[in-house]
Amino acid sequence: MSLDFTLSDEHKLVQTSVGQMLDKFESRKAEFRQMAKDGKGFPEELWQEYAQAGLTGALIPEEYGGNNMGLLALMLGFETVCTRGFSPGLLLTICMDTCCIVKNGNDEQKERFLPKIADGSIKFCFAITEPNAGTNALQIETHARRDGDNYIINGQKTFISGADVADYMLLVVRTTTAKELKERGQPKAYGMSLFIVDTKSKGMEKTPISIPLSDELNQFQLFFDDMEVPAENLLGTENEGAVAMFNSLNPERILAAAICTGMAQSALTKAVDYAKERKVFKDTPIGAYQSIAHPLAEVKIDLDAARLMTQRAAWAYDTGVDPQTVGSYANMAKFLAAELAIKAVDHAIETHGGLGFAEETGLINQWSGARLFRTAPVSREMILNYVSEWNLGLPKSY
Amino acid sequence: MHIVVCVKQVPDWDIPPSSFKIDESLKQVVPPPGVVDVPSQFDMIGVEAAMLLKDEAPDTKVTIMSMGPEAVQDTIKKSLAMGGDEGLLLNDTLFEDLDWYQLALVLSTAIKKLESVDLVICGRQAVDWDMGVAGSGIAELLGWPALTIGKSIKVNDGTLVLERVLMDGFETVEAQLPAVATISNELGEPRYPKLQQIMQVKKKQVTVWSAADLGLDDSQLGADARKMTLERLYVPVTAVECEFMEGDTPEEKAQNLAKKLAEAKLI
Ligand SMILES: Cc1cc2nc3c(=O)[nH]c(=O)nc-3n(C[C@H](O)[C@H](O)[C@H](O)COP(=O)(O)OP(=O)(O)OC[C@H]3O[C@@H](n4cnc5c(N)ncnc54)[C@H](O)[C@@H]3O)c2cc1C
Ligand SMILES: Cc1cc2nc3c(=O)[nH]c(=O)nc-3n(C[C@H](O)[C@H](O)[C@H](O)COP(=O)(O)OP(=O)(O)OC[C@H]3O[C@@H](n4cnc5c(N)ncnc54)[C@H](O)[C@@H]3O)c2cc1C
Repeated sequence: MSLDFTLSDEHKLVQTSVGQMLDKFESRKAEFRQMAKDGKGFPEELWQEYAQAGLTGALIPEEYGGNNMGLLALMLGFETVCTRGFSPGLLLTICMDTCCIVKNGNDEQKERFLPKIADGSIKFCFAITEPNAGTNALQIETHARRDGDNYIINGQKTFISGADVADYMLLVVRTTTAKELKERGQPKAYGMSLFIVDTKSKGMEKTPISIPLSDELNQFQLFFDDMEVPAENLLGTENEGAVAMFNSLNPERILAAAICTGMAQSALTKAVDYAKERKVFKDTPIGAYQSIAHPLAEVKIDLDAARLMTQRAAWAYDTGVDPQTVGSYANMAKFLAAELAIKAVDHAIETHGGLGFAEETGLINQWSGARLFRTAPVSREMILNYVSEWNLGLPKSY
Repeated sequence: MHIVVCVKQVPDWDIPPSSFKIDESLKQVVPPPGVVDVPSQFDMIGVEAAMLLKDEAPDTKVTIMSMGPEAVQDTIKKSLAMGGDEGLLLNDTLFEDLDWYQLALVLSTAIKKLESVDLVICGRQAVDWDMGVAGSGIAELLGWPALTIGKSIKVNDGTLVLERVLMDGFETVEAQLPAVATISNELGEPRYPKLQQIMQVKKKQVTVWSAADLGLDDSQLGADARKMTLERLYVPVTAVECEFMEGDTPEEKAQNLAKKLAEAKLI
């Protein structure tokens, strides 16, 4: 009797409220996009509104200034932001970092960072990827060495989104090198550590990478040359950062899935509206042709499926289902939603004919945004590997 | 101060009116299938007006009152999430088919029962029927002054000050509390509920009163007690002719338009 597919009144309110919050920015989307292109970063005004609405505090306990409404609420908020054609900006990484701090931070760290994340006064980015360690995160080489009250960090990171607008970064490094692990016979997952690093730290250099995406975030390559980080900024236990970090990946995947269902809904709405109006032959709107209508109908079916999968994953996370099961739900939802977003935008472009390629239609830049999610934050291949191994019990190949 | 805001739930006003049908024999409006009910636009602005007063005087209590089926809890909850303190649902099968007088009777009786109400706020009109009579009707039955179609609202030492929207400008009127105010869209966009406020809704009380709780029965709420008779419900046929002005330049088109309007004695 307990299976219920309706959202609670509170969750429905999140959808309408976030929509209402965005109304006043509706006419300024193009301006925001241009700001990012001009290297001015994510619009602060919009960010402050996200924080005021409670999106940055949705995973933060009330004692630390959050509203703790949970991942399902946040996921619905994310979906609404993207359905309306806005960018969540740093919300994705900040929510993931938040989970990590809530689960692994000490009281002092929680008091120092969480209230300011909730009220929008500080932003976080996340840095793990390196030129030689993307999918295989355990291969990172950036290293932190203890030196009195500080750690000294050397190495580099790449593809770090929003390093320009973030005040802090959750940085994943090695405190035990691969060589040391081998010598001591320790497992590969050992020796990773998490640090909260001020993005204005001395010894850090940022170089922008040119990635023409529509999400109003810029990516950076970061170089650390004897960068000093206070030891009090170590998050969790030294050398045991891998587990701490992996625990925060489920929310990231679920929110990525919500971004994708939102993008798909946005593209589908545009396509359907256009297909009802556009007449190419005689007085028949192109939406009457099955070659236009059927792909859009398929998108609608996939969208409902992806949405339900994403909601299930968020619900499971909120209700404390074991992380392994949440992981399966989250990965599957992200896979389905990312493929759906690409398909939805592609069919919307096709429906628009030549107009689909015009910047003002907003589809061609959405395409690169949708396409990103097949590859990052976790690739399609790695999800299929995960499901093969954990859900089907097939042997691991790598 | 205790403010009661009357809110109503109506079929989604974003969908085109032409998608509604009329059943002339039953004298009923038939909404298109799948249409959802939403808060009436002006009522949310009424809630905003109450919240502005509460921002000024934080010890103000705001009660959100709605008459209708259980489903209007959605609108009550939204209003509570905007900052209302308590909800009051007036729910009874006897409330299902009332005329405007009976509606005002139910709402004003509930206000009397609440006791110590200083101010009642309504939207200027509900966006389904656009009658705009609830506020004045309640005031009439309570014997309170009604200040209508406000674009700004203030309370100074027990005096309600309302800036009213007129056809050709504005006027400022005052009345001693208790009073009824109706609010127009010129007041501004209603605030949206923040997640932390949505989280608090569960903790807020929504009381449900039936006709019996209000001491009302069929003799006041039945068909025989209606004061208004609906003679006929139909869609008026309006013929629209559209003519594009000819002309080689925008100036010439404008001149032609002016000539045409002058000929029709419209200017
Ligand atoms: C726009 C953008 C923003 C980003 N933002 C951030 C950020 O903020 N912070 C951050 O740390 N990183 C960020 N990244 C990096 C992103 O997480 C990585 O690009 C991603 O993890 C893939 O790593 P890689 O690029 O090294 O690819 P590789 O690891 O080199 O993988 C290449 C291909 O091989 C496939 N592959 C690898 N191993 C297997 C296997 N065992 N089986 C099957 N296939 C396999 C992968 O799926 C992929 O298709 C961002 C990337 C982009 C493009
Ligand atoms: C980058 C770019 C370069 C271009 N360069 C040139 C150029 O150099 N010269 C030039 O003349 N044009 C050019 N074009 C225009 C291009 O050829 C048209 O965009 C194309 O012919 C489609 O026409 P349309 O955009 O009006 O789409 P529409 O005709 O409006 O079609 C919209 C959609 O409806 C579908 N559709 C229409 N009728 C039917 C039907 N009966 N059954 C099923 N589906 C149907 C179409 O396949 C399409 O998916 C260019 C376009 C682009 C984007």
